[in-house]
Amino acid sequence: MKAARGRGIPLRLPYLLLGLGVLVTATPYLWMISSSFKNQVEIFAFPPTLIPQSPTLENYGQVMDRLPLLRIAFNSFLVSLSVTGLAIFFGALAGYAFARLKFIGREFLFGLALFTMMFPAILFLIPRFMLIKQMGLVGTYPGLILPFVVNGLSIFLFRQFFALIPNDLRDAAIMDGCSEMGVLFRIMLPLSKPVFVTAGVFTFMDTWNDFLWPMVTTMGYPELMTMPVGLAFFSQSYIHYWGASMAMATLFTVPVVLVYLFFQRCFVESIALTGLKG
Amino acid sequence: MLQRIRSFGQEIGQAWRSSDKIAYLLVLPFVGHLALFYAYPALFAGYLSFHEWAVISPDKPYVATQNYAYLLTDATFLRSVVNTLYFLILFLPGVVIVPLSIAVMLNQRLRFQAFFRAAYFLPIVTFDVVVALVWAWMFADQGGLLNYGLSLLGLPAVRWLSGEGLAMPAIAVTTIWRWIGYFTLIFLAGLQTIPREVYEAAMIDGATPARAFFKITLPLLNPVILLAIVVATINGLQLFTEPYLMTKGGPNYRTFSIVYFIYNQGFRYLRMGYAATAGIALFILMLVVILLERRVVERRFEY
Repeated sequence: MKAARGRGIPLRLPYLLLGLGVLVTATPYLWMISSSFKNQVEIFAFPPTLIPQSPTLENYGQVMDRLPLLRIAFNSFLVSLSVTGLAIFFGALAGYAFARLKFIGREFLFGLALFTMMFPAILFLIPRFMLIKQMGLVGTYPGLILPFVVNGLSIFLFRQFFALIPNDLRDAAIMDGCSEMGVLFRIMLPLSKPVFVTAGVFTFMDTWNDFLWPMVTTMGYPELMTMPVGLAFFSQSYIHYWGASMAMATLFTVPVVLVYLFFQRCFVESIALTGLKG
Repeated sequence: MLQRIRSFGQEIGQAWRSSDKIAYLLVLPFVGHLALFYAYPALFAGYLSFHEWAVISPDKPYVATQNYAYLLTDATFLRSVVNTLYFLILFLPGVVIVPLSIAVMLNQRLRFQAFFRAAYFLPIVTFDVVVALVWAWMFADQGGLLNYGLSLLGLPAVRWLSGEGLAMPAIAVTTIWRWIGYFTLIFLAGLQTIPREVYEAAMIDGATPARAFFKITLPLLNPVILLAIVVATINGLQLFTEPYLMTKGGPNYRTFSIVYFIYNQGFRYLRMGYAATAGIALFILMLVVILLERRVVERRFEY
């Protein structure tokens, strides 16, 4: 690519444009953090200050007073981790069957698994809510988790991966008296760590970020709010108290960003892969 | 005929005997989930759409196609369709052209490569809700950063979210900002599959960088671009979080989206039948838009 562009365009231009882009990306974060430390007067000051003149923690205090932050974070983790763990587990089971075993309806069922990937959850918002309601699961953890414990993408990724593992491995194990389940759990699963990461990061981020479903299923059950729902709820009841909203936004963003910077490679690979194949 | 059925039965029996029985157990969770959370809701949505299903009232009368008829003449719904399509028209170029340009630049041998990537991908791991709130504050009439920026340029303050004209573009900017990193990543992955030799050969043949981009990069990237457009369309048509938090669908319904309509009908007015009907309409719209896009994109770069 350098050969293609390097000569025609001066080399400084990309740096300039990319630097500008970084500024555009970074500004909202800086503005958010800066605002979260300003008091109710300074936040509306003109011209606005980047570094708060009289930094205060009152916004953070307000957030902690009004919302059970630990409970909200716990809910988010519980729901996202359960969904991710189950989606990987069920995805691995089905993916193995589709890749390695012979059974009636295999192609048809695998086709259906791919088919489900084309339907965003939002299309099922109303009927799934009615279903959860009929099952008495509104305002419960299962209501938040169950609709997402299987996803077509995980099945697809595991199937592709298992299909590449040489058959000899399985044959040798079966010869030695290993059962089909033994092959799956002792040989195939330990080998498939990369898929765990790819499918896991994708599923986790999707669930973690989801807003509409947890909002409608926890309506009237504030003890079950996830982080996005808690933040939305808080900001709605404190309109124009931007400092407090920004404090909560900062609390919910900075730790996640740190985790991301630490595991950046996993994220990047997962999105590149799921994006290209999905 | 009987012969046929018998041989078909034998075939099935044969297939059953030679199949790995354990497979049925392994796919059971998937099949059960599919039945419960996809097949049943899809059928139930269809059923709901032919009934007047007010949650609070005990009788849910069959109303034939009344919901559909209402929907197609419901000014609020039609407004939401127009708004959502308008949003999509603003959103698509933003998440295709900008990320593609960034990806092309990042694909060169640059210094600070890791830094740039880390910076651009940050919004991917930021909650939609956070993005919406921070941008709402940046666009605020009073104390907002963007109006301050305008004042530095000597321009008068603008009513971003509270004026009818700019509310949807402002929401589009917010959403584009949130998705740029994601699509940059997808394009970057696509660019990395194009071998360098192709460009070197083109250079030797005297191609300019611009020509190389339009004659090599774009056509080879065509499947990835189509994928990005489809993904962006599916996500764009689901617009909800941003208007819900930034404008409440206003001013004067200018940012009221289809999903917002479904949410309002279902969870504010508790008209589940009508909301399900709008859900089906959204599905059909999604299908139509994606098929149209496929046609356009595939034709443009065909060889």
